[in-house]
Amino acid sequence: MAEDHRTSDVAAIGVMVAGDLRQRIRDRTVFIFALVVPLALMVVFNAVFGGMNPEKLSGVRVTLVSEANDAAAGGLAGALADLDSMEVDLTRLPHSDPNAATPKLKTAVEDDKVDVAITVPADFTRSLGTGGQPRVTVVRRGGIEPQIIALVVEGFVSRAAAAAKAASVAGAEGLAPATIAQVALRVADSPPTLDVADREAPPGQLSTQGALVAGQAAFFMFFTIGFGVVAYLEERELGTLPRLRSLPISPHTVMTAKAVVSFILGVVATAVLLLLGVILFDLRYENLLTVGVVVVVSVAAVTASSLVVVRVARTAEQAQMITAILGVVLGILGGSFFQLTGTGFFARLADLTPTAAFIRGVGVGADGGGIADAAAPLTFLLGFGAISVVAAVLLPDRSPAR
Amino acid sequence: MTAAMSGSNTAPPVLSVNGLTKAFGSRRAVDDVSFEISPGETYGLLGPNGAGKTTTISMIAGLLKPDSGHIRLCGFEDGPTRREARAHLGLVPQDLAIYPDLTARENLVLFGRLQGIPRRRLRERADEVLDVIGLSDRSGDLTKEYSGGMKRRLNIGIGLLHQPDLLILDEPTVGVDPQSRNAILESVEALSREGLALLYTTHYMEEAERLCDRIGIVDQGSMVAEGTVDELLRITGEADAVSLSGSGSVLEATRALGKANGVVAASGDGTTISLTVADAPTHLASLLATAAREGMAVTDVDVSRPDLEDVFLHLTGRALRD
Repeated sequence: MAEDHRTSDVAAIGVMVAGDLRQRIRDRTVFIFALVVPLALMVVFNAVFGGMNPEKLSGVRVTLVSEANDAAAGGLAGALADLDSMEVDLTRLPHSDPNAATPKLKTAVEDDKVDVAITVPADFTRSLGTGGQPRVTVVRRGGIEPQIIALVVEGFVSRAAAAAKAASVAGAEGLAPATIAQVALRVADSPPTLDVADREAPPGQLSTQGALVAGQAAFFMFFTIGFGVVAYLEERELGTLPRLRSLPISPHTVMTAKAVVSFILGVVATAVLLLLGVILFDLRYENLLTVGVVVVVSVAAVTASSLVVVRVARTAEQAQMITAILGVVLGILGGSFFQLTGTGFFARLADLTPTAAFIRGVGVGADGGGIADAAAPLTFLLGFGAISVVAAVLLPDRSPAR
Repeated sequence: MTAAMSGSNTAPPVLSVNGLTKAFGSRRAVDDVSFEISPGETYGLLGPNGAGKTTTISMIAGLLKPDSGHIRLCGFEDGPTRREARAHLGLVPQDLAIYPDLTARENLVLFGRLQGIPRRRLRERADEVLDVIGLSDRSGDLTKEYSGGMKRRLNIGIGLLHQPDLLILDEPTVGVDPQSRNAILESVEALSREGLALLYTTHYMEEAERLCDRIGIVDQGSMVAEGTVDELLRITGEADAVSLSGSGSVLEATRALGKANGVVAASGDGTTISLTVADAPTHLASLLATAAREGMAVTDVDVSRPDLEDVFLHLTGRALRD
């Protein structure tokens, strides 16, 4: 005869969660998808994209060859020396025939003795003043810093040419020669229009590496959480679900236990990935509490969305497919791999993803912002989760009847 | 079989099913099915695949809600909708309801704790059940490393763990090799001997004949006949087939046997006489004496009794395994 035993639903959920986690640990698949793959992708993406956004320009060695007393060449040298964005090690070489020095300068660049060599031709200032088109030669090495120097030179020469043209027109209109000279000099000596400055990421926005780490954590959050709830459908296929539902426990206990497993897996995996970002990529999270709250709320929201998947899918395989599609689409829109730029419909759509909200929330926490500062992404995530729960309750169960 | 039979047991039934009906769309999977199981009785639901056996037990176990009908389970009028009622029920689903990444003991402990069995008692019960199902030596192995038969035995063991009043076994030998199948049937017989009430579904008529005190034959959702094996055989009016082979005056013997007591029909072909006899064991001696008296030297006798396969064919016009 049956002995009179009772178990509470909370205790039953605890037993099922412990059993599920034990199986997940033994299965190891969850480790691969929750930690190994995202970590590998982080490293790869960091290697590919990380270098495209240098945060600091290095110094550059510049040699400028011109006639000793050329006023415009002096102006160019001044413009280069005044660049705020990088340190310019400028060497001026006076030469009576600057163009003759060009081959030697090319060799110096090739031999890595100098990064940029500039040749200002003889009679440069006078040529400009008479409306001529003197050619300034720039020989440079690869890299962004020499390119910036070349752009500055180009900008200076353009302004000088414009000044010369203004002077020429003024002369034709009968302007006094002294005034013409003043106009030309003022234009030529005006500050360069190109200025590249080092800027930190704006408040609440992650650096490139930080965005990659948070993006990958958000992207794989769907898959990790999917493991938990897909297990519900696997139980149905395995045959354990009928047995569980025949036990003296509430019918909702099984699904609740799966959601709890998903939540635990999601929080642990996401926290570990963000922590690895600190260890491997020198990321910093100034406000850990905010980051923690964002992680917890995000995982809860995605777990809620996975309940909808369980309702919609007929089999575990279908659920995995839907989860993958959902993860990839929301990941791309939300900026798991790269930030979508632009305005309009897609930009707004991108903002309305849990992935984007998670990245924004982590960004606020990383920047030292409090929970109140992260209110917008947190509110969105809570709303997303609430809508998902309502949808999961209202949607009919499409699982085949047994 | 146990001595506990319907009508001979005055204790209230552990299960009483009345007018159970379930439809999926326009198809009636179970149509007005009624039966009872007394304490200690083994009741078989016999029918081909798709007859409605699993749907019936799904409703009894609380997995499906009946469209109509009433289930009284272990004294609870609300049937399986009551948690307390489900605590008295053990279910062995047709699918292997075990976790492959847990050991046999871990599977037992997990389901035992969900049943609310206290830890110490659960440890003892797990040992007892492992012993009963013959898996004590392999209790620490992951079940994914088990053979099909071992998994089936564990599947049954989990259903027994909390010592239910009624154990439902849904085709527990499907896909099992003959040796394991026999081990499972012996386990079920042992449970029956211990006085556990069993509801056993199968489409193997040999299993139903071997294990069940009473059998309900189901086809296309309906209960077409119910009773003990003998009662079922009598319902159909089928007689035994007796074949006598030999030499001598076979034709004369055929004529004489055609008029013998209990013989329904007789035919002969010179060396063999085929008889249709009501209750052959009772009349066989006198039939052999008649043949000898007519001058036939009988060298071989073959008696075949009708079985449940014949009963099913008689009732439905189709073979049991169609």
